[in-house]
Amino acid sequence: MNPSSDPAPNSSAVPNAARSYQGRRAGVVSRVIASLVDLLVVVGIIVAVYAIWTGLAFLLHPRSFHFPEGLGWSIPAVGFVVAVPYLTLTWNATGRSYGAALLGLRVVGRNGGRLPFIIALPRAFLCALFPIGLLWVAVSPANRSLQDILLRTSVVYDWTPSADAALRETITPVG
Amino acid sequence: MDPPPPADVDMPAVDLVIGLAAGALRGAGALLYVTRPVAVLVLRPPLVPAPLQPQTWLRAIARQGKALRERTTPQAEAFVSQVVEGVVARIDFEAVVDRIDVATIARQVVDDMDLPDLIRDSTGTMASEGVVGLRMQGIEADERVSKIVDKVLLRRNARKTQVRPQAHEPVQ
Repeated sequence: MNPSSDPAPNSSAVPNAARSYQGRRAGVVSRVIASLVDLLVVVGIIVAVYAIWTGLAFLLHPRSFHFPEGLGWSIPAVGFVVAVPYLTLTWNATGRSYGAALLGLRVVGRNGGRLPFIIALPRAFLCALFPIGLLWVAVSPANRSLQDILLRTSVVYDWTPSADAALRETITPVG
Repeated sequence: MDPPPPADVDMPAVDLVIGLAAGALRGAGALLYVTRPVAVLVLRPPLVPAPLQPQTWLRAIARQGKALRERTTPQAEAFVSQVVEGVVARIDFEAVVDRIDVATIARQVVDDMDLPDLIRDSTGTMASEGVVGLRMQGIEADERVSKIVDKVLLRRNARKTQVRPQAHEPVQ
């Protein structure tokens, strides 16, 4: 590992080995793992939705009940409908979805600040529509995905629990 | 750059003490080396039956001392216990405690400990020991992949991963 010579945050919650990475854009592996965790969350929500749907159908029409068929087209559509608000709200509220929180990542805006709703929404839309754009992080000289480049956002390592603390401590001031 | 050689400080008193101590140690070792055969010869003289050897007498005296110690230890302990109980009974602990400002000391200890921070840190650590390992492995994997890709792309400069550019870092 080649940590920065600029030690970032002074938070006691962050181990020494990780401090120099705080506030720096995360690499592709961490971000892919975080996205896979978020995918699992979305799949869990979809399963819960279908379970509730099926349970209600059974309760309302127990005699004619049968498990829903031909779900193929609806699963990605429901996934899209679930993923976009999930990502938008979590990024706007705390900067981190469940996967990002698990991997110690945070989505930040252009200047390292909190992601505004008007940026979080199209970012979530683009991520759900074209998730493969995430792999550009591996090639980008600034560790940015295609969505990051389009919307001028970043995903940084941030192990501090509070977004405000992270913004205070991890972002290097200009000049 | 090699560090400069340490200055040669002259401390004759310290050197004298060290020299004397070393000489004494050497002398004690030599004395032990010389006197040991003599002591063995005195304690266990050859051609003298074992019951008449000084070592046998000394062992007998030691056995008597051990028996005396084992006999008197409970009595000594009881005596000390009585004395301590008597002393403790005479001390007015309430008066002693009244003289101490316990509240101030307790407040100072709590202030120094910063309990909220301690609780926050300890609970956070307990909850995230496994997560810390996962995150560190993620960072290491990120670094490895970045290095491999940069090598393949013949990239010479390090990646610019600072969110806001530093003074020496050009805006991309």
